[in-house]
Amino acid sequence: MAINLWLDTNILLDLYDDTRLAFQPTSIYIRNSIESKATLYVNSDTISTMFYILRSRKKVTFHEALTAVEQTIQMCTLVEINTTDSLLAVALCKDDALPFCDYEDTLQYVCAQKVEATMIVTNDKGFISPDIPIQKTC
Amino acid sequence: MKGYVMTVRKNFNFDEETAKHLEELAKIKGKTQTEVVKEAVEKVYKEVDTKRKLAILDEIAGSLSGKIGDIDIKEARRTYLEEKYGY
Repeated sequence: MAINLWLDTNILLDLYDDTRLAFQPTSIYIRNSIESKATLYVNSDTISTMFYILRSRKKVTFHEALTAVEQTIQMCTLVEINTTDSLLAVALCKDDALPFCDYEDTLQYVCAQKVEATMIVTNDKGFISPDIPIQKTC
Repeated sequence: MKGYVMTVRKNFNFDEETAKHLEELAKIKGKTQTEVVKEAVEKVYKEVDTKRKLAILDEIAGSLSGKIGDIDIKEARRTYLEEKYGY
């Protein structure tokens, strides 16, 4: 059975900075996943978010941020966001009966469903996923 | 992402021995020759792809040491966009 892992932005950032608390467990988890032939998915929004965050750090140069984007796209499978995905994320957030309250996270959840993700890997305590199991690395 | 899988026709020239081995493998495994070739290619591809991804992970790991830190991701994104678009 295929292992499809959806990676949140915080997981990607963990890998880049060994002073982050989750660096070691996240690195080990991702290494083991690649060795187990898991497919790592991210969406184009996550890539932009990662770039914005890296650029918000004064010590990270423009070229370092670009290299990070390039490396992430090479290591992961990039999932495109289409109209249906965006509108579904909006609808889920608008529905007061549902717990979705963050458009960016909900869009990730919608895309994770689209690729039939077996797990969403995130250390974000507030990430909402009613049916796809969440895997924390620390 | 389920759906219709499009197939592509490819022509190969094997030497006699390899062609015979392919026929034998198909018989032993009870599969078509196309399926045997597909399995073999996918097996090698996965090995190569895994090595390539592990090499990228090695490049990534700790390459921005001390430059990110344990930050509030949503706040960092907001700050960057505020500065970029000046709102």
